[in-house]
Amino acid sequence: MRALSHNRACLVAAGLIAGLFAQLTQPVHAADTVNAYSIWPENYARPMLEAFEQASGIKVKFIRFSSGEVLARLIAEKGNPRVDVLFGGPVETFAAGIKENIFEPYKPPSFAVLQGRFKHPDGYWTAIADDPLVFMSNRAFLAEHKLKPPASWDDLLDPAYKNMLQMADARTSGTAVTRIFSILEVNGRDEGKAFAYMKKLRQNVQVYTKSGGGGTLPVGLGQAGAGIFFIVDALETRNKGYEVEISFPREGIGSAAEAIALVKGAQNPDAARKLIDFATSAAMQSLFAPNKINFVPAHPDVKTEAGLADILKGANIVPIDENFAGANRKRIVDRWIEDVLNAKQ
Amino acid sequence: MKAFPQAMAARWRRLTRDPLLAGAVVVLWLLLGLFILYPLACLLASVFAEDGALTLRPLLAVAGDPNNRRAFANSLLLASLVGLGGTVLAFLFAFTAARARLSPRILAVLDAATLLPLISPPFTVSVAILFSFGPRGLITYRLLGMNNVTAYGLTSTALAEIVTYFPIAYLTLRPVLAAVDANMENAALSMGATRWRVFRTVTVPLAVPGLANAFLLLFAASLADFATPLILAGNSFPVLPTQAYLQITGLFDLKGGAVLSFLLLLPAAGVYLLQRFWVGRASYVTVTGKAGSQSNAMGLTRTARALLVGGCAVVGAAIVYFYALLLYASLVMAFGANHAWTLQHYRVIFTEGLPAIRDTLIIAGIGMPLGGLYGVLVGYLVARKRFAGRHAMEVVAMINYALPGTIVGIAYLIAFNAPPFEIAGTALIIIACYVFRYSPTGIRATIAQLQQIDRSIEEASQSLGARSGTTFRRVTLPLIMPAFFAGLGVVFIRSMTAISATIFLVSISWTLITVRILENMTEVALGPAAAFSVFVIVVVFVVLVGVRALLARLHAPGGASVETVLGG
Amino acid sequence: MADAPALTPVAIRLAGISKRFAHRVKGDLYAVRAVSLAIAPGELLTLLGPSGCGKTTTLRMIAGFEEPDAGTIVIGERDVTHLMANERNIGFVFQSYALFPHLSVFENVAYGLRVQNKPPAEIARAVGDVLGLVGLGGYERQQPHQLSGGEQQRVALARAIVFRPRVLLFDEPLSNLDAKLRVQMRDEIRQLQKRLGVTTVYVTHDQEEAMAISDRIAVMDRGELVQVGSAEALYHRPASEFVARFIGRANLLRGRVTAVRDGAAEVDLGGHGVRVAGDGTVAPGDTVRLVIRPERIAIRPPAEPGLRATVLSRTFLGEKAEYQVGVGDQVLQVAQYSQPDGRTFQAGDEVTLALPSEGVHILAG
Repeated sequence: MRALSHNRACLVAAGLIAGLFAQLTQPVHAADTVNAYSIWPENYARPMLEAFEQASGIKVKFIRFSSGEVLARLIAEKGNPRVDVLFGGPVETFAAGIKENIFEPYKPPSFAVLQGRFKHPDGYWTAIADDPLVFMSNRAFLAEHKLKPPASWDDLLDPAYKNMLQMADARTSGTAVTRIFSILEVNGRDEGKAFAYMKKLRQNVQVYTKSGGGGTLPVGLGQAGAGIFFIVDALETRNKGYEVEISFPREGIGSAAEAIALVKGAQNPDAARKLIDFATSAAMQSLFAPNKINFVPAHPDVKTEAGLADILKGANIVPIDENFAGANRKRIVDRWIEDVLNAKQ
Repeated sequence: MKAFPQAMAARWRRLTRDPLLAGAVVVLWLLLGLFILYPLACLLASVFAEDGALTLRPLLAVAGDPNNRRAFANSLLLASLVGLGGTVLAFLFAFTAARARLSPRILAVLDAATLLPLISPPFTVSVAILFSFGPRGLITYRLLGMNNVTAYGLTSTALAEIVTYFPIAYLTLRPVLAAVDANMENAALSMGATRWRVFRTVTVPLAVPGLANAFLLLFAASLADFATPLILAGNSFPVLPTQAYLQITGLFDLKGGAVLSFLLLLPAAGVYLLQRFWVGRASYVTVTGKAGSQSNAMGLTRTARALLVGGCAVVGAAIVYFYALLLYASLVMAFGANHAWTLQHYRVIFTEGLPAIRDTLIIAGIGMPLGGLYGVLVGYLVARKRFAGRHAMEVVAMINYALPGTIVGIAYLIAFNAPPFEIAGTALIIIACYVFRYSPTGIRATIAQLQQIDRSIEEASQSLGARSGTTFRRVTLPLIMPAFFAGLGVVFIRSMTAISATIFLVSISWTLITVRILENMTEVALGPAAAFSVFVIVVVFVVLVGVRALLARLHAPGGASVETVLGG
Repeated sequence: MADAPALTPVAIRLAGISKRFAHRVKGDLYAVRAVSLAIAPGELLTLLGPSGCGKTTTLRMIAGFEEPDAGTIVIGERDVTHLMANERNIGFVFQSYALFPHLSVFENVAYGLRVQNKPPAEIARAVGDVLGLVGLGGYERQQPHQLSGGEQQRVALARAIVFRPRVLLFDEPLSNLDAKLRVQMRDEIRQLQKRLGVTTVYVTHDQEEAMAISDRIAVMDRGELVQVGSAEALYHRPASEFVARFIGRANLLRGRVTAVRDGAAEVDLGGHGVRVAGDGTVAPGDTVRLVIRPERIAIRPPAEPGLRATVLSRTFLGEKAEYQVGVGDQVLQVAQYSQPDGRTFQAGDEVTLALPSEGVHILAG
């Protein structure tokens, strides 16, 4: 008697476990869903993607990774991608991805009106924003050392900055790659000069951070004196209340477009295309300003927010040739690791 | 030897006569094979095979890179320092707890202070050190007026790891010191030795196996730690687990990352072997005959006691300070800039961060009973039953626990991202990772508890006609309940606070609080990161208290408490 | 249960039982070697021997906790050699009692009945009966850790007999009790066993205990059966020096047979002659060893006839005094129970020893 009820309990338990098991191993495949990896931070991506959900009725599931991590994932998942779209992130990441054959070309409606540097000629990626690099420095630090905000690349070589600079690590961050290519551009693509500069700069660097914006808080707090960041991160720091100055080198500094692309073999290609349409349209990019996201819109119909435009006035923004960057990314980054990062102190 | 086939026949007969035992063994081997051996094999294949052929090229390429060699040496150096420093600190605490005759309340405070690092998510200590000891650090700059101190490098990393991990050593050393036979010290005293001499020549030598064990534990923990060096090591002090992580996530070089983690395997295996075969055998504190009561233990001089208690107080205060900093950062708008009080960060984690909280609690909640049951089952079979491959099962079950997390995570990523077992991106892969990585503490606790239960009790049940399933259910299981709950608690706690393996396993459907903390850290959203950390600590603390209360009610014989099990 | 008719008792037969194990240093060792034993139905047979002699291993093989490497075990008509312990229907009382610490006394005793899925009413009745039988009526609700050693022992006993096993096995059940309790308990065990009529195998290293309760005793040494027989047979006619020394105390004397007549042998012990009755296997001229129990030697003043000896030491033990006495180059033990005339001797005294012809036994070999 007892044995029977005991067996029944076991059966019920087994059934429950089986059901749970099925639930837990189910990859997401709903018809009106799109899955994305986002390189943009959560609090940027979320409002944009929520707006898309409102507008289209398609649900979005995403997770945030840094550009290096996401590239690693997409390559590892090549045969069997778990997402449909790569959302945001500097263009050079996309260029590297094209090499690895993880994207599928798609030209959204806005393709035609976008500037040349905001789209891949074959449509592998399309820009959704522009993000210039800036110098950001700590006001108290400047006052203490009686310095003006750095207005030249060479200003950063000042011994006052010894061990007080923070900037991104090229192994993991697109910010760094954009920075390195900026330095190359202002040196006329002379690698010798560019790397000599970077080696000298290294002496002043406290740490190369994993993510592009990783050094903003230390600079804000005064743990570091200055750094090179995307304007979006720098302004975020300033708006939080940290006392920092934003400046530009007169020789010029680069700007990286932020892009979006369709993943090859996507499970939800139609929904994915809709998302790309939305992201590259004025509809989404006019949401930057109200959400206090300091990207420069890529779509020509959307005006840059007044405050942001103000800061950028007079800045010497040097466009970076994406094709050149894409073609040489690995080589340059490897050389940077070798010659700059791991140079004997 | 014509007895051999007879012995084999006997073993086979034993196995087939007891179908429940045979079934359990088969199922366990399937699980172990799938979730421990298969990923490891895939990792090794990735390291040693290229284009279908066996080759040493990837290994040599990675090992030949001087930076990787430096990282390897750095890892060993860091681990040794942490082992040394942590053992000394742990010994300080354990000795004080055992001998300084502290009031129970102060002892509870001491225990609580050492518990904090064990139950917190990663980065808590690292970030606090950054803010305290950096160029504008609270302590170095504001307090001491030192300029231009760097917070990155070997010193701060070692310091952070020592503070984070010494509680593990403390928990294993406490029972060792308590078990040192007081009569041996009394004998030495009666022969005229001073207290210091007795300490030097009797107490410490007797504790040496415990100290060696503690050192190895800390060494292994430091070897595997990728989160602390990620924040604090800077670029001048690369270490292997962080390099492996960066190799994969930065340079999208899965193979290179796999090879780097393989390099880690060697010292990790060495440590494990040392622990098992050298330290595990030598035990000088086994008491023979009737143990002398502890109230006779050699007392401390006034100055010694003051020094010890003072030392512990300083370290305890430092720990509390670090966590106070964390709490503070979670309650202000922007630490260092805007010190207005706010609950905004908590609001954020419970709205935007809710998926991560939900996912983590679900995964931890499911992993908990599975891990507990698995641990008890394996522990029981290995300790009590005799069957072919018993020792092999014990060793294999421990593998994922002994390996650094990065290796396990990478191995799972490689193994389960492609057919035939494609479970990447699901909750199952994360749960499996946790269960097979953190249950071994439950296994060990079960084995230890079973060693205290006379075999004859189970034989009695057998002699009364019960089959092995009935015996396990009605006699053994109730008696090892303490080990079961302790193992359960450990799986839950580690599921809430672990990162190094599972950072590779999160997906769009399932994410974890610890990964969100890392994201927040890198996005420089310190407030939410701190709020998440506080949340984790509170939840884990509550569960810990609950499990402890349960254990107390079960009258745990032999002291299998969650803390001691956490330490192992 | 006391009223229920006893089950027909069964015989146990061990044939050529061996058990080997591998020693780390010494290589292959035999715990038990070629033991053959027949235990009669209803008999209480004790396996007796020093520690390490293989008695416990043999017992555990009968129980089914160990499997023999060779030989067969038959209980009743069933060959149980390869049966698991839970299929043999035996009751086992452990040295450490092995009570289930998490169960009450009632549940401990009821365990075997619950395994057999007996109805609750029957269980309650049987447990109540058997607890009464062992003198623990009313203890049902107690927890094992609340009981004294003797009480735990009784619970273990009750648990082992409540389900009417065909065989009862005891593994040194009294070794954890103090001396007086041990004596009391062994008598109770023996009475219970007689009452139930269950075939019982009992293991102990205490020869007094063995002699007190057994129908027969099997002496084991280093894995082998040395001698089987009643206590009296073992005491008065030990088959080897080992048995002679293990059971009681023995003096071993060397002598030479001078003559054999009327079924008795005349043995010369260094100048003194002894008649040893009833041994027809020796011939004149043989060298033999004689076993003489200490209490059989009479110690007399020097004037009387007998073997010349010197008292070396005297130990007073209450009811008797033990003497170490030197005879030539040998030392003999002599036990002298209190004499009606209160005669005692001191160390250094010259005495005479009288060796009777009864109570002297010629050792084979």
